[in-house]
Amino acid sequence: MFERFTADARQVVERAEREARFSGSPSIEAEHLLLALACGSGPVAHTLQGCGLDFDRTRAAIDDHFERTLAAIGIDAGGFALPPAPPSANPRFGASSKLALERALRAAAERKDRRLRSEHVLLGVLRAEAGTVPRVLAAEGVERDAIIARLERELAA
Amino acid sequence: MTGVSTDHPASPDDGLAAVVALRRLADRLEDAEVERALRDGWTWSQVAEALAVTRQAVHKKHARRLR
Repeated sequence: MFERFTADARQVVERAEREARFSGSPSIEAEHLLLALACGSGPVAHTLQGCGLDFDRTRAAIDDHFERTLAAIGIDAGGFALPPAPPSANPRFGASSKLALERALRAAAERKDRRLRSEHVLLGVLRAEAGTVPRVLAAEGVERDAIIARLERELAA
Repeated sequence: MTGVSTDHPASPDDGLAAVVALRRLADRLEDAEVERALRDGWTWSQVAEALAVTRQAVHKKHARRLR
């Protein structure tokens, strides 16, 4: 599946795997791809940083989202006094990251791009209508549609 | 540990997000408690029975991480 990925896009996937592993997640999810896209100094990271989503802010926004979601059903996650999550052994691609990568492949195919770039990965992550990532973005006041439109323009140029 | 109140999610979107957040919390709690039990001298079989899963299941999920 990854043979068509550019070196940048491959790095994003590897970084997402690392994010999942070191957050103790048993699976790589779309939010780990988002985190991976937000780090570094390439054009995609720049796009996210321009919306206020630098790496640290993105990580905090994801943590805030889960905490808030649990608080909404009356659970104080801080009350569990969990130790820092131990690294997970071998995180696999979860459903949300698989969907994001499928959408990324489709985004590349739509414009007949032979290589899958990190821009496509970001498009794939942003095109999710439900799940953790769109909720995190909404909570951060990030206009998903505006970034999608901008990315599509840039890819068309 | 705090309890769960009777708050009901306002929408399916909120409710489904709560399920995801609970699973994530349950996973983290399981990691921490399995590790603590083994450190306290529990056997894998005892941990499995306490979690109401098979010994194979708990071993497969945690052995690599905890060895």
